[in-house]
Amino acid sequence: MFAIAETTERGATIIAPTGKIDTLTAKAFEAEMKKRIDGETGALLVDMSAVDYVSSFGLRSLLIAAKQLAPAGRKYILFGLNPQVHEVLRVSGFLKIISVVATRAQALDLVGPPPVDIG
Amino acid sequence: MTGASCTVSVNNSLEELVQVHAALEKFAEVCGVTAETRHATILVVEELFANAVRYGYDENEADTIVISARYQHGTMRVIIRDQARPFDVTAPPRRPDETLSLEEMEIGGLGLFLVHEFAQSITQDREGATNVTEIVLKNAEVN
Repeated sequence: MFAIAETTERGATIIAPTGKIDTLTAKAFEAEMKKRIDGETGALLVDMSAVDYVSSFGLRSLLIAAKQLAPAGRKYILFGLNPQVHEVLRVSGFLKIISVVATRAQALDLVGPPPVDIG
Repeated sequence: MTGASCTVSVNNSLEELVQVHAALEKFAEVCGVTAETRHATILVVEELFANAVRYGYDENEADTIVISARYQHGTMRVIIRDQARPFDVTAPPRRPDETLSLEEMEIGGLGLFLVHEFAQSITQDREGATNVTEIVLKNAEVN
């Protein structure tokens, strides 16, 4: 089972995949990210809070997106990882090359300051 | 007392992972293991199964792969039986080079590395034409 939701905040696209990112679903996830990478110009944030499982194919799709965004200097931030998914990224050395934070607020802070409220 | 066990037999096709995942999820739930053990069990099986299916067979070569899991005294043990071309999965794979930059980092090749990361031991025997791969997972239940 694989679904994805999208929102925009502070000019950043936030996608929220649901379920497993594995051998069978990674290609679909990769295609969804590619759509946002090609069709938009801002930061790409991935809300991982509804992802309960990531295998090596999932890692592969996360890395491909990072490589596609880096040359344009576009920010790419993952947040909300459960401890098991976080551990898979950690042992694979991904935490050193991809920004991973705990919360959506922290991810948005990395994107930029909130819009100033002009009273 | 031999602990709880489950066995799932599937074709050598990647689509069968849905069934394999479902069986292992259910087994992990029945055993009441931690989320760590559940995730590691499914991960190890997926990586080994996918490797065998992708690289172990000629085109259209049909096989039945039997996956058994046993949980006893806080330890999860998985046995995979297949008739794929033998491939040594016990040799320690190359570690990802953590000094590499994003641009330099290679895509792929992490599957077997992850298996070794989450396994306490990996053994492989050959019984006739059958590869018997046994993985004992690191015990995450003591935490």
